[in-house]
Amino acid sequence: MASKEIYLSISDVEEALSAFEKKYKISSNVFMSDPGTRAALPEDDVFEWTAYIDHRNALQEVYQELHREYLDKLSVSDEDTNILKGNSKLCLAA
Amino acid sequence: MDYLEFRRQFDAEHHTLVIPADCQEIAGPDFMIATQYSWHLKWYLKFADNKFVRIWEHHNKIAGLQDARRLKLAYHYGPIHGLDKDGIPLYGSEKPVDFRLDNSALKIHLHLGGPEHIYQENVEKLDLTSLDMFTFVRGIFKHRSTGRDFDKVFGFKIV
Repeated sequence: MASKEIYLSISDVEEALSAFEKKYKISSNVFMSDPGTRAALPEDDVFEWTAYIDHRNALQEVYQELHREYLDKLSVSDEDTNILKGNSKLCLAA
Repeated sequence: MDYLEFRRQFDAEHHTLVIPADCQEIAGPDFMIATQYSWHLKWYLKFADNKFVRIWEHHNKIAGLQDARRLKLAYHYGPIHGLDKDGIPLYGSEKPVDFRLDNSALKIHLHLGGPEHIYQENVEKLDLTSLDMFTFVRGIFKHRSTGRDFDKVFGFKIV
């Protein structure tokens, strides 16, 4: 049997979480914060639900990091633009 | 260990695994990957006498580190009670089991022929968290080929 790699997107993960929330009529937050609720659910669903919550957190962390890096580049670019503008004004004044 | 290192180790072990003639991999190993530090896997093996092994593992990032660890595991061996639409053996925690190690909903524990949870404090000579999936699978193969009980195969004592 050949192994498969499935790369999960944030929408794949949200879809899986939504299915668990609908099935048990509780939010993922309640699921995570209430050990009693978790203990009453089938072990397989607890396993997968927990995994998908962790996957969502991991993906969000990566997205936030990328966004920060993007914003950092934007601010550097703005600075570069201002320097160029300053140089242009100096050229014009000369 | 990140996903790439995990896969290197998994593939090396999987490559050397000698699967008995009466056994076949019926699904997986499948890897569901969110990031290099967050993934889970599913793997099913079926025996000719209608028993199966099911391996599930979930790995996640260690907070504050560029590293991941096995967070959840569910290693199961027992009779097949039914199949889903894809031919995968159904699992139910209330169904009979021969041998199972998991920490899906509770702290890590064994099942030995029944639904009772046997926690580490009642298990001597084996650190339950040290048992990895390939040791589990090879142990099941050994149990089946020799007829030795699980405690002898895996080297633990119930107290």
